[in-house]
Amino acid sequence: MRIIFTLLALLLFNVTFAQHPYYDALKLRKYISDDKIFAPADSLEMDTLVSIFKLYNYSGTINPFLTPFTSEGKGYSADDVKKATLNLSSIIGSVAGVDVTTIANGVAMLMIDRAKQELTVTFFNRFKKFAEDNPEFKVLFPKTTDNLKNLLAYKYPEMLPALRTGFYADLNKITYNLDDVLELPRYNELLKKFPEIKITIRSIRLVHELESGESHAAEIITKFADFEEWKTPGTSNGFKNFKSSVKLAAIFSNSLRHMPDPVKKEKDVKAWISIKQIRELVKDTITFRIYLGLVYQLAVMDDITWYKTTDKPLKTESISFATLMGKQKDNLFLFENKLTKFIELSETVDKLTDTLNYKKDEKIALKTEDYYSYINASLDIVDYGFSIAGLFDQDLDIAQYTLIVRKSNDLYRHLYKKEFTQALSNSMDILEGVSIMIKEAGDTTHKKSLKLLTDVLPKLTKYGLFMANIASTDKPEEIRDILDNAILPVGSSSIKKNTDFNVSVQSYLGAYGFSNPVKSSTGNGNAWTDKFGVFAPIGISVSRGFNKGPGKNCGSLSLFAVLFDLGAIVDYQLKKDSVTNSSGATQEEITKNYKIKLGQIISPGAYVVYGFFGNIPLSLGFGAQYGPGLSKIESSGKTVFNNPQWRWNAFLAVDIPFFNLVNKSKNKKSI
Amino acid sequence: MKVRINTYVNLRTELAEIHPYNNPRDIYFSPGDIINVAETVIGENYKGNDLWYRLEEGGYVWSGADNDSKITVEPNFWLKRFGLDLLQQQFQQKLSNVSISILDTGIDEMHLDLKDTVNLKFNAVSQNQPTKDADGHGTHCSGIIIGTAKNKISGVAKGAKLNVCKIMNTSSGSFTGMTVKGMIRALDKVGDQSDVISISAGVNQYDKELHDKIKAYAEKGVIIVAAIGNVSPEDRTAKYPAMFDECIAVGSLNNSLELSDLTVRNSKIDICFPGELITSTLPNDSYGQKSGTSMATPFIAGLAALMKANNAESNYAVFRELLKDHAVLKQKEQFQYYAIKNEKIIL
Repeated sequence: MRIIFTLLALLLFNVTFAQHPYYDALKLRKYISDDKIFAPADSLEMDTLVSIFKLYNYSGTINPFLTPFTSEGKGYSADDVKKATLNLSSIIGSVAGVDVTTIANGVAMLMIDRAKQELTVTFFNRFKKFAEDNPEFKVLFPKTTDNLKNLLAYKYPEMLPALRTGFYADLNKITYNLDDVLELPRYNELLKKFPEIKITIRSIRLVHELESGESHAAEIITKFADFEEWKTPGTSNGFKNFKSSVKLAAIFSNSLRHMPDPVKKEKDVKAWISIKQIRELVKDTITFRIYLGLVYQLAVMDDITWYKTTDKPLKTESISFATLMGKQKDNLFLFENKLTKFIELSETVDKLTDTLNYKKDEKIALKTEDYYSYINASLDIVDYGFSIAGLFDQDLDIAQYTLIVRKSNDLYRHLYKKEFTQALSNSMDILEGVSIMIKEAGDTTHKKSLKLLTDVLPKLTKYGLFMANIASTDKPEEIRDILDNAILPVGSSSIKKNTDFNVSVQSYLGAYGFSNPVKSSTGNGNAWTDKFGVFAPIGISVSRGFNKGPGKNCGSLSLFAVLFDLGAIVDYQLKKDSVTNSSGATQEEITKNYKIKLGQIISPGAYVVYGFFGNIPLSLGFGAQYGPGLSKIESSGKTVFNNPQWRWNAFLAVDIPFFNLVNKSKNKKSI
Repeated sequence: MKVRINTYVNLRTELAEIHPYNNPRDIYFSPGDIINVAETVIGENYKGNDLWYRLEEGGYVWSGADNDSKITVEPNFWLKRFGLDLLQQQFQQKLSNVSISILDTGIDEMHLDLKDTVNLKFNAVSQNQPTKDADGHGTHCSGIIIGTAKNKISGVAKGAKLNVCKIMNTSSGSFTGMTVKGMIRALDKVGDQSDVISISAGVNQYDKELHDKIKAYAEKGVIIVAAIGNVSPEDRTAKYPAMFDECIAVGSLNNSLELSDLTVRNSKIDICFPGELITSTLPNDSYGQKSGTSMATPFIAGLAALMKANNAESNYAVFRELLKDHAVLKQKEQFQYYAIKNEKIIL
């Protein structure tokens, strides 16, 4: 890394382009006559003019910028249902807010804690198996794979620090390993068939050159455009469009490269011309038009064209950059604006290079921030370069094609900032981008290889994000939360909707209603016999999901067997009494001096439950339940018990799964 | 026309054919021999070439015999052919009162055959620059009109006063520097001092200002002669100002006095005159051949100057009539055109 700027200096001195629109435009400007047309005065000037134009394959043919200078003569983002979830700890917390000595709460807590532990062990076992079964993971996270091999899952608490170190090391090296995934033997056929993959690999490595100091941002853009794979015939429209965007970026970048004066010894070597030079260029309309005319010729020579397929009728339309430029030929402000922006970004890179060189010369210690600023600014200009085409025509949807490059850039940025989760996400987006490109190519002969990639991505993402989250923190409480989230992420209520078969321990929290209310013998209404009330059962649910396949969003159907009912406790928790304290102030408070027994909350029953479509965590259920002994807790904390009785009722409640016992899916993409 | 023979070739005496009895006296030419060609004719196809030369002395020679050699045409050949040399002698004195303006690439006014001929010069491309001819086109045209014959080239209107306007820096391609504005500036500069204006150049688009200017000078009696234009792969358009009614539009003939393939075919052509392989002056005391309607134009401009010497009151309409009198209607494929008659011109 520290050799970066020595290499940069060498790179910047070797700017040799056949065409250089900026400098060539300045030369050609001298040949403009009184009538604002090219009029080389003698054969020497004519030879120079013709030789420059020859580099741009221009001989006086139609060019919207140059043609006006040719002769006429001889001439173109509720409560979250309180958290609709009042997640388990909040319920138990309600229960837990209730005295922990209560049997119900104790049982629940014990159950939950054990379940969590079991699930955590299961999680690590699955993690270990996934790492062993999938070469993609081995390549991407080699150190973690080694660590997992030695992991005794039930001893994960002891192993966690070592695992975390491995996560950290692997994530830091992910840019070195990401491209290797695509070179796995199982993707050999894809690699041979689709230049998209090779381009992806090269792009990742190229950006890495930026980081290592082998290439300057300007070199990155040029090298990118020079990839041999662009010449591959018969590629998809997406690939062709990607190629055109990259080549266009190179044209603009190279057109504004700074050429060191061979006589003067310049102290600071710049990659691109300065803001001052670009202002002088755009200030003289004639020189600016000549410059644009030369760029136009280069776009024509490189056949910078974008394609899109229309549905009705099915056909491929194309639009060349030359055409886009031609449409904007009188909008010099647009070109001025884009070029100025490009040079402003480039100047930032040059300034940062100067600063780094200065610090190096003065032997001032360089910090990671220094490198980050440089890398970040370099990637900004690469990004901007690849987005130039879209700036000229908003209908030109190029962003999706340059996604891989942008994600590569983002990946490097995030790694520098130690933002591992984002970096991991970028990595997965890159691999997914590859699979999308291959799908778009419409080749069906490599479905198996493609499926291997598309199937492994969600799991790589799941475990990768877990690793990234763990690597990002060293706080025990945060690590615990991450583990909780890994074994049963928030939003798990949707799992049953997305799987073919699911068995889970879960709860519902909501409201019930029934049509045959029975008054208790005491004459007091209670939580169980009220016509409406709080519904908070805990039981086992067996479900089948219907959110299967593209466009299907039908929810789930479950058979819910109730074991306990905490409705009375929750109902009490929702009530608040006005209590006057010693200072005479009145405040809302809950009295927590009630006592219950486990047998008093046992409430067997069965419901048929419909989980709402989409991922709304609401469920509608109907069934019968034998009421618990505990029917009500009064505001004083006094518990009311009744003889249990059966009731038919319906409920609308928030779906709160505790953990999954069985989860089967035909669709391997579900996690 | 004289042609240098490049290889051994027999003289065919009866017909333009290769036949055992077609050269009873066994006459042949050796490499380097020069023959006097009266005309080209179509004869027997031999090695894909059916073009033959008919010699002034009689007999025929297969033209393939000079495929790799330069055809050397005697300078001033066409003057003699159409009797222009005689008219030149006849109006030599009066020609000194005639002013001819050439709107072209400038002139090498120090050329042996052009020295002391320039009366007025103007650079319409870059007004503060000299009229030096870096291309050669203007110098070549100038020689055809006004060559002094001090060394080699005798102009049609030798002895007339020459005004030189540089309206383009080069004669070909898209970067000649020529504009309608430049042409107008040139006309403004020399129009009132001209009897004849020769323009071996043109533009594709009609321009009213230019037209008005041409019209105005034509009405004053200035005879403006312009080239109709050459055919190129990307351009087959007839040029302005030749297309204006008030201009005499000139096309080119080949050495056989047939329409040149490079001539733009347009009914506006008033006259076609030999324009191929014309030898004339080039910068730096050199000489060379050029072909095109540009070369035919100064011949006709020179002829206009001779007419002006004879009758200062004559104008473009009179000149057009004169040309018609000396033209013959010919046809090439579907195109009909007027070609100069193969005879001496009499004023």
